[in-house]
Amino acid sequence: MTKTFLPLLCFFLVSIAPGCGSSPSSSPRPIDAVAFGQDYKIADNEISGWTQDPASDGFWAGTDLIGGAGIDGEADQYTNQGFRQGMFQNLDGPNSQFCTLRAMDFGTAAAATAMFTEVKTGSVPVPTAIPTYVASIAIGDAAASGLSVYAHFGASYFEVLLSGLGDQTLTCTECPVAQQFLDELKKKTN
Amino acid sequence: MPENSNPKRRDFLKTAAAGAAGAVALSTLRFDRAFAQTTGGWVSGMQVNPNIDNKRVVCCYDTKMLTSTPATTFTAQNAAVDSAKVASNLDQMAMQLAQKTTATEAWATIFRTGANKTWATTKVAIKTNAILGTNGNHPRVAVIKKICDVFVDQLGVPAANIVLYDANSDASKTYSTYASLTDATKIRAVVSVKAQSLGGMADVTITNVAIAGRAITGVADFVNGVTDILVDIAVVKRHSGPGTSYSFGSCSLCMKNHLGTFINKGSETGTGDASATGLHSLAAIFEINKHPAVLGGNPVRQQLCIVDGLLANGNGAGGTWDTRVDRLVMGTFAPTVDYLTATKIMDDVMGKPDANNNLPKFLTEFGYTTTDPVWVEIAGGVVTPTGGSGGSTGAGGSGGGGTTGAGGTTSTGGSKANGGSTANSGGSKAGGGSTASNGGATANGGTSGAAGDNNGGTIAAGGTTANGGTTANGGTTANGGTTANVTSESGGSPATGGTSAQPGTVASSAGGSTAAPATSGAPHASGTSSGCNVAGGDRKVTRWGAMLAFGAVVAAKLRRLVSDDDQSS
Repeated sequence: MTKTFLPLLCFFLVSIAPGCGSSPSSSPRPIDAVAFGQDYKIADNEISGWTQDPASDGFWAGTDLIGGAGIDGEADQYTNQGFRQGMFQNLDGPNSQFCTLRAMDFGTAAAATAMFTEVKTGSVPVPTAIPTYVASIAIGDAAASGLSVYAHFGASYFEVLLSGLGDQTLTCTECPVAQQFLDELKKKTN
Repeated sequence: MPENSNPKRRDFLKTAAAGAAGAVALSTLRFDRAFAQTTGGWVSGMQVNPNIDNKRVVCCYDTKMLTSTPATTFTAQNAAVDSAKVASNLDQMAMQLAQKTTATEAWATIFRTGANKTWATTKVAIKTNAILGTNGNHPRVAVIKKICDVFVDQLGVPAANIVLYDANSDASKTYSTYASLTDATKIRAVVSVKAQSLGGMADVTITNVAIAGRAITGVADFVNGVTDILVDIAVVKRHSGPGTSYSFGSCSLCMKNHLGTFINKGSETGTGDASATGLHSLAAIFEINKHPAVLGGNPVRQQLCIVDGLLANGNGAGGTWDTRVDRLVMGTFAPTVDYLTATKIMDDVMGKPDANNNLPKFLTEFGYTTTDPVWVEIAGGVVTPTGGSGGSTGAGGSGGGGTTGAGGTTSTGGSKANGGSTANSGGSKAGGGSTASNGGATANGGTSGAAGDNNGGTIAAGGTTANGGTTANGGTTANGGTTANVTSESGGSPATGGTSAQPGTVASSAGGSTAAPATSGAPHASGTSSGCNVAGGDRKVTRWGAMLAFGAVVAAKLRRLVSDDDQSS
């Protein structure tokens, strides 16, 4: 009886409890990289002063991180966590600032969270806090004139790689654009 | 006195002299281990170049290599580079690496071709990093061009025999517009589509593949021994792979750059990037860097490793450059180049340490320890001495001269005073003053700096061929230059060594009656000289130093004794 009861109980809990397993509302979106890319693509001046880089490799949407997105050496960390489809976009900002935006679908919120956690714990020993975002949702990693922001909303995981900021003592207080990008991405996720 | 009237004494002298000479000769190499040539890849203890220690790595820091801080595009990056400055600095670095006094000698020491080859028939390949195209962080054109210029102009390698490649990401998409076989203002080399100009890819056996069953291929002309010389040019990239599946010291430098010399079998086809996921493990990367394709051949194929650290990726390999580092690094052995670049630049300068403590493995895997590598840093125009400074070609007042500036009469170095490229401390040229040049706390002798009446600084380090002055006084821990010559006079009547004064590695000394074999640390000023013309002393004192101190004294005494003997016979 116990053997029969436990699976039923588990099914019941999974069905009624949001966040406990995959509820119907969080079922993975279909694999359609073009649609995914359009959902997350930042239109020109959607963030004031930022437009898509005109270079031929300025935008990519697809499922092949190596042959398509061309990141090879870093691809494993995403595919190992269940990467399904993604969108990479390069944007030119004011004052020669530059952004590589990566939006990736991991199918479930749990998988996107795991991806974020792995980057956070494995690669960002001294995270920079992003205003209005808790560290379990978004963190920054500051370089001399750049700031990489890692975040997750729903089943999607994001990287906002900002450079050309030109500040040797960069903090997020001095970099509100990071927050602007996250706000847009959060809005697009919802 | 009859000749050989005292044969035992003379025999002893000859033996002792030979021993001293042997010590001097050995000291030139400064190797801790036997060197060997191999055709089969890495073997424990092998030296890539019998005249250059695997452990020796040279770094140049010069903010003037970039005339401005560029935007992210590769076009903008190259436009901001002062190519002449980069070329000059690479010459200086080669001189420091090979411990030669001219760039011509240095490059001729670094690059070697086979016994049955002429330079006209020598085949060269240069590995670059072409990933992420338009806005990627790639080795700058000026760096690659300089290396090609050395091969073409100095050594006589036909431009058509030089191939620039990245089998992973296709260098032709990034570099073709910067290359020509005939235009000397460009990179004179063939820019390969992936590895097509190098015979394509050939099957190799890799034991430590990261994905079971994955077949790996390597550049065919390396695997088959067609290419004679391989130059590995990487950029500084932090690599944020996860700790559990792919952690490579949090960096992507020369060793990892060979993902693109080796790739997954079959992935080179098509227009997209190839893949090397089968090699995404530390063990696999070590294995390919020991492979005969890289360290095989006679001479060893991979003869030079350069890290272009002008602009770096501090936050991850996937973005654009985000940190201006203004540095170039050079060595013959990728593991030590990578280890020191990661620790001295990525950690110390960029504040991006290895997140997984894997860096020591870069050395231990090859039989070295973390205390073995020798980091030779030559500085550019950002170090300002407290005593003032001369212009780039100006005459110093109380401060030091610039690159070729003349020192003042009482030139006093600052806390980190550095000599010029031909800085003659106490001489008539650049550097210290004519009478009493005083080194700073960490004063470094010039490349060929000859000391006048110098006083070494606290840690006065001699230049490459620093010569002690007539009354050269070593500093507290004055270190001789690499070929520090303490002449019969330069030892000086009261040549006084420092507290732990040591001679250079080749102390060709015929000192005076009390010639202490120290002193060569000819310190002088000029911190504002731009360009890496400054010979920084080694940061590391070798055990040979102590032996040579003894050897030099013995040699000097022996010479006088022999001379006395000869005169009397």
